[in-house]
Amino acid sequence: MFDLNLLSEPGIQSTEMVDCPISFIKEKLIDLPKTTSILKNKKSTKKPMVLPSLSLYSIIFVAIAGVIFYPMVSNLNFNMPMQSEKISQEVVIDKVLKVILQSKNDYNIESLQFSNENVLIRLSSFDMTLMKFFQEEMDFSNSGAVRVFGDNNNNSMIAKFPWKITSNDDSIASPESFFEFVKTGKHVKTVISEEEIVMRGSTSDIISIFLQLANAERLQTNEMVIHSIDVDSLIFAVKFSN
Amino acid sequence: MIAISQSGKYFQYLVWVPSEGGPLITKFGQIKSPDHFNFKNGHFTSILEQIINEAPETSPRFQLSLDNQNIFISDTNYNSEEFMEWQKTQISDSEFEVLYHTFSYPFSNNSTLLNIHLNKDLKLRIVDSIQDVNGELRAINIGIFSAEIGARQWFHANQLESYAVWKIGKNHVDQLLIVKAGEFQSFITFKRLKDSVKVLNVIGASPLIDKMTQQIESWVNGVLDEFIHIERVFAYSSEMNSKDLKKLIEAQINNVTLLNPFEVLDISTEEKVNPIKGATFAEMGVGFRGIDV
Repeated sequence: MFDLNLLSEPGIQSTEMVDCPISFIKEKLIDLPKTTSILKNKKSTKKPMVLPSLSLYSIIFVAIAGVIFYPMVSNLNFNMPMQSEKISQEVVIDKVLKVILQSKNDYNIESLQFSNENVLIRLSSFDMTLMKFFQEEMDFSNSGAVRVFGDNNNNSMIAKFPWKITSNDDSIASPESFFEFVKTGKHVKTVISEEEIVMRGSTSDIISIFLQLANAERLQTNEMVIHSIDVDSLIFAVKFSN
Repeated sequence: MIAISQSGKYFQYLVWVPSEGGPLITKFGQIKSPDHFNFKNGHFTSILEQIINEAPETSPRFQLSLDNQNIFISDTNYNSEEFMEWQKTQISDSEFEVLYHTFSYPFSNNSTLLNIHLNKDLKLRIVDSIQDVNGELRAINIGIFSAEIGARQWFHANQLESYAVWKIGKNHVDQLLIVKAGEFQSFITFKRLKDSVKVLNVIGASPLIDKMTQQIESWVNGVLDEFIHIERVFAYSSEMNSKDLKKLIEAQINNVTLLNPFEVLDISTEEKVNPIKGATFAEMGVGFRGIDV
């Protein structure tokens, strides 16, 4: 059954849901206190001293991981199509929320990466039937943008949805601006670094943070990563904008 | 997100936010439009402002369902773009093209088109009002078609082989939208008389039309236990305290469901909503497009 949307172009319409919003929402500028920028400058002067050692470790780690995992990785096809660009961001948020909610019982979230162009979802489970079922549920535009693969009871699913980081003016640039919108709760452990805020907590605590960001319309302002560490614990990292 | 539906003199609104348990309604209500309401004279801006004041959102995002009095509906046989162009020159006044947008939806194996004709100026005025309140407009839908989205999103009607949405209207003039195998079949307008049903208008020929109207006639005469030939009928009325809708629900017909979003959606307050009143919000379906409830 078609969904009427009289905001679309007149003429013969497709059966797919069409999104063509007309927006007059004015971008809000965050006036950061001057002290923040001074702090930032101070921190940035230290950065070059830390970087060489970090990059050295990263190169060694990538090299070792490459040698160990090459046979496995070489079998995978990472050329994934994306679900239709016409899917609204509400639908994507709804699907992502479902992924986080069901992680309690059904699978592990290897990672949920929110970048400027897409949300890349990687899940793993021992149960192939369950993964297949979830694949059908996620691939709502039948674009084949959700893939399941695996063997020996070690199954993975990769899905890709369109995503946009909407505005840098509204983005979270510091811990202070993050805590303007989010109350993390006392059971959530938080580590703040120069680049990001990382939170570890129960699935429900992390969902609460996710929803607070959604309600404050700050879900699409910053890059984010979520992954699970055990059955009911998740790590949620929000990168600060520069 | 703010869903708004216009029905007669009233604008109803429903504000929701995403939550762990699905969409959570934070505010709902209705606003009576002024006498001689017209989208062209800023009245709609005032309606939007009242809704925003009731439910302040940092960035108001709207999804709108218009009363079907604002549009014209037609159907045409279709086999090619050229045929459409030729037909247009045969049947329509050239002025019509200047004044109206036509949105055509193929159905019945692409052999027929359902056409919605929307006044261009009306659309512009709606967009102007959205601009006046610095908002965002996500979709414009129409009455019963918006309610049909509600049937799918709230009651998973898309999992049924066939279903109908029945709008019980003023002065016994009703609308019926029939969907089979996930595809639009027919849109019927009919009048319920004392002991019969008179079909006023039909879009989309379907064998189900006669069967459905006969069975509605049986209900009018008090002898219907179940709609056969259709799996489920979702009924609603935009009229407050609709006696006819109440009568239909009290008849306890096996496969009739009241299209009441409040039966499915969570509300942030303790407020209880009377089911018949709740069903007046059925045309909010457009606000839940693509959202799992």
